[in-house]
Amino acid sequence: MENIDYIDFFYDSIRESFESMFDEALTLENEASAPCCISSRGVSVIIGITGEVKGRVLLDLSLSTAMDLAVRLDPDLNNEDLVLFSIAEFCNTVSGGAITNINNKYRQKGLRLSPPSIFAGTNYKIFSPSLHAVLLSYDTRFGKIDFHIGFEGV
Amino acid sequence: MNNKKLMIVDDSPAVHIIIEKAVTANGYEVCAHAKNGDEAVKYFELTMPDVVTMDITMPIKDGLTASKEILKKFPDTKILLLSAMGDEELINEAKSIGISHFMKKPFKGADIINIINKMTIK
Repeated sequence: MENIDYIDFFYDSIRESFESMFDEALTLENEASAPCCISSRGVSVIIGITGEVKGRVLLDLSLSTAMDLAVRLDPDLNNEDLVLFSIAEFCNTVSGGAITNINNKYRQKGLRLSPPSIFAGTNYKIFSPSLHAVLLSYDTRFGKIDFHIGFEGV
Repeated sequence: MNNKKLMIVDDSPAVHIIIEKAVTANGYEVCAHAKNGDEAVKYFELTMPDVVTMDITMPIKDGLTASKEILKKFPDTKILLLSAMGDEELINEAKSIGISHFMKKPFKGADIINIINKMTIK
């Protein structure tokens, strides 16, 4: 099997999507192997990846950061449900951008995304015991945002 | 008001709000909001919009399947595919079912208006 670093495709997509949607810059603060158990900051979006390889993208951030970003996107996105959908749209845009570039470079992959699942609350954990993921932790003016990106068998 | 009707199809209410603000400010009427492809097919026949903005990845029925069903019955329908996904295979599939306008997310309101204006004057 071809040795492809799928995570490479996410760096540009995260930066471009964030800058385009929120007119703000973000800084990659930390990159590490993601833990299999995540204590959420308060809002999480999970998008599945299907096709020749399977994976998932998990975006995690605080509700306060999510609210600031949503209002930055559009001042009318100011109630909690709309905030959550806005953040899901951001995660979808990031994932779609990266997957598009993977598919255009490696045509046989045929990767597709699942609709996003959105979680919000306090003191919850997310376990992904069978997936090796990479944590990309970003600093923004509105607070930290973490992407946990994993592919099966990679 | 330019008397043109538009249907927004997307599973994200946030996208509905962003598109609706952009198009209504430019004289379009949003005649229907659909949150999946199944609703899109039903609401299309009820409201007969001039233009449809269509997401691809949605629950129940995806945007390409819904577009195919709409175009089968109404081949002159103007559909703007709006998606985070935009690889060549997907764009070719969209073209093969008769969709000629595609815009990749993220987008700005002004971008949507430019393309919808072009679609409606043809």
